[in-house]
Amino acid sequence: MKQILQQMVEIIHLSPARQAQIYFKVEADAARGTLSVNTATDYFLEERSGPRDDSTKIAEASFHLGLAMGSLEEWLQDERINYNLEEAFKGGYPRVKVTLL
Amino acid sequence: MTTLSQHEQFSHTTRSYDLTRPVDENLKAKINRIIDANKDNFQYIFVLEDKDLIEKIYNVSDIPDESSLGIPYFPRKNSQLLAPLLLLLVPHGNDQYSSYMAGKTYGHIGLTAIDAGYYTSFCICYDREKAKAIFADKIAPTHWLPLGAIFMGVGHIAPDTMPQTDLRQNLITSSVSKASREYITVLD
Repeated sequence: MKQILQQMVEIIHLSPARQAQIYFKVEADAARGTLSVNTATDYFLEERSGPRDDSTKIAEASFHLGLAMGSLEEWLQDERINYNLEEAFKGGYPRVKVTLL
Repeated sequence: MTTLSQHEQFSHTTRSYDLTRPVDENLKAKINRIIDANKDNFQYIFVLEDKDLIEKIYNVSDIPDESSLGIPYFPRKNSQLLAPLLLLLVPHGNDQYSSYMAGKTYGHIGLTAIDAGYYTSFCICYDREKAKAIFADKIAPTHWLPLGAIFMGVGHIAPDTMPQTDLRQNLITSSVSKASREYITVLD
């Protein structure tokens, strides 16, 4: 379980977001078999300040979180790992939680 | 089967496509299947191979000035668009869900393309009004290109080049270093 989660963490870490200075706060819990991903808004806002307004930042962060999750799902499906994906879009930046089954 | 090195490749962009080598039919069929499975999330879907049309889109893409982030700047176009296959998935709006689903669909396409031996790229920095004019015969006058409408390039890399080599500018752009791991927590 922990090995799978570490691979998942690595895939999120490798996602294209870092090229856009968008960072994700990732928390993996081996006991529960869960991986939670949030946009690290403090870092993001600090480094990407300037002409972007909040809605632009949220749209960019949402796109990049989607990129990360799409590539992670490709890996999970290739490895035939069963999982449940919860995606939350209520206010601010989106959040996702993957639970290994 | 995707490997970590393939995910690493996905994290970098490509500016040096070999425009003499089109994307093969097998990969195009896989990409079309992924798009079809997600088509309800998009109001328009463009799968482009026309070199003249791609050149027009390239000409409305100005690289933004991010010198405040320490990235050297000079006026130029975004050569990530100069791919043999260029995709544009147009979400329904600027909301989180729409942008997230565009990214997620591209994530699936990207790893599928890399697994088939191809390289990928993205362009967010094009002029949306001018791009809409290029697609004037396809996009309704009342519609617009939202923030999550981002171009994705797919193709083979040109021989003897690095992905970061901008062939139009004879320039190599450096990649951004990895994000700090302080944002990652693994609990036993």
